[in-house]
Amino acid sequence: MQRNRPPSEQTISVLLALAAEPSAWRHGYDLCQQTGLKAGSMYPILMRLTDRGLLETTWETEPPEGRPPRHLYKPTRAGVDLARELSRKRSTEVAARLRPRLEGA
Amino acid sequence: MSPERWLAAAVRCLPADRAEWGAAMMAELDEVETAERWRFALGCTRVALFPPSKGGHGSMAKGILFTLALVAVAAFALWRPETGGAWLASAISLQTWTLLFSKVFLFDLLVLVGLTWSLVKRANGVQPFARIPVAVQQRGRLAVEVYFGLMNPVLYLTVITSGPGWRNTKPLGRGLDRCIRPRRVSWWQYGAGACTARRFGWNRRGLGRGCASCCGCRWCAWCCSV
Repeated sequence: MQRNRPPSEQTISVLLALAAEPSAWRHGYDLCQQTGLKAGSMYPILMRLTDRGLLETTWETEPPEGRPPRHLYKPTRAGVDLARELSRKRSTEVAARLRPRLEGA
Repeated sequence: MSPERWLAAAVRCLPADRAEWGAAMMAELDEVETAERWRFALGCTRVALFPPSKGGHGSMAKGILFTLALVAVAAFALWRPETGGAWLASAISLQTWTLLFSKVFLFDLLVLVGLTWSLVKRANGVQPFARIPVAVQQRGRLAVEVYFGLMNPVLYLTVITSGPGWRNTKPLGRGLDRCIRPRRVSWWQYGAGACTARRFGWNRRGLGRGCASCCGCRWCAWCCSV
């Protein structure tokens, strides 16, 4: 049975970063720079997302000479859907948090 | 030592089903800015030594670290009996316990030598058990994990806290005494079973393994309390 633990904040940030351009293949180091996560946190997240079928991976087909091919990541359909759902949930939570302040103003 | 060589050695510890990620980290390191390279390599080393489990199998490094920590604690207690190891020293001075303890300890050492050998092989880029069928390898790894993670601690704790030597020495404290006395270990045998089942999933396979580890712990406790 797969555990349905809610994704961590770090996982959500990676998923949202990937889902911002769902058709683009991204590199691990670029994602580290965009999300501010260290490699030690990024790779376990990428591994788990791939294991759960939320991420598609491939290798660079034409790497520049003298450099090994890099691993590339792209969200799957399920990954994009989950990212949208998480994004919607997050904006609802933010709105709920801001409403009392706006009403009080 | 360069970050590339460091990471190359570390990623060889990755299990076969995660080997692709080692290559990904190596390739990515080439693109990392010079100032960040060591930090990136060390972060990846942590992942290589403790990768997220896939299909229920944890990393070998965890088992080795756990056992080393256990051996270190036992060694410290023996070395400095006045700091709390008097009960341990008196327990193992009895012949029966000494025999059992020495057998367990010898078996641990043999397993550790085997694990170290396989790690060295991996570090040199050789698959140590390539001729053994994958299914047998997986079961062997599971057996080592259950032995080191669950049965071994039970065995050590029951050996060191039982026997007549226990009564002649200073008690550990009311709470701890209750928890680790051999006849009172049933709650954490069940706990060990539940942890195993939780780790492998609440399905038939996971529950079977949970029952197996529970029975293993029970057997160890029984052996030590006879």
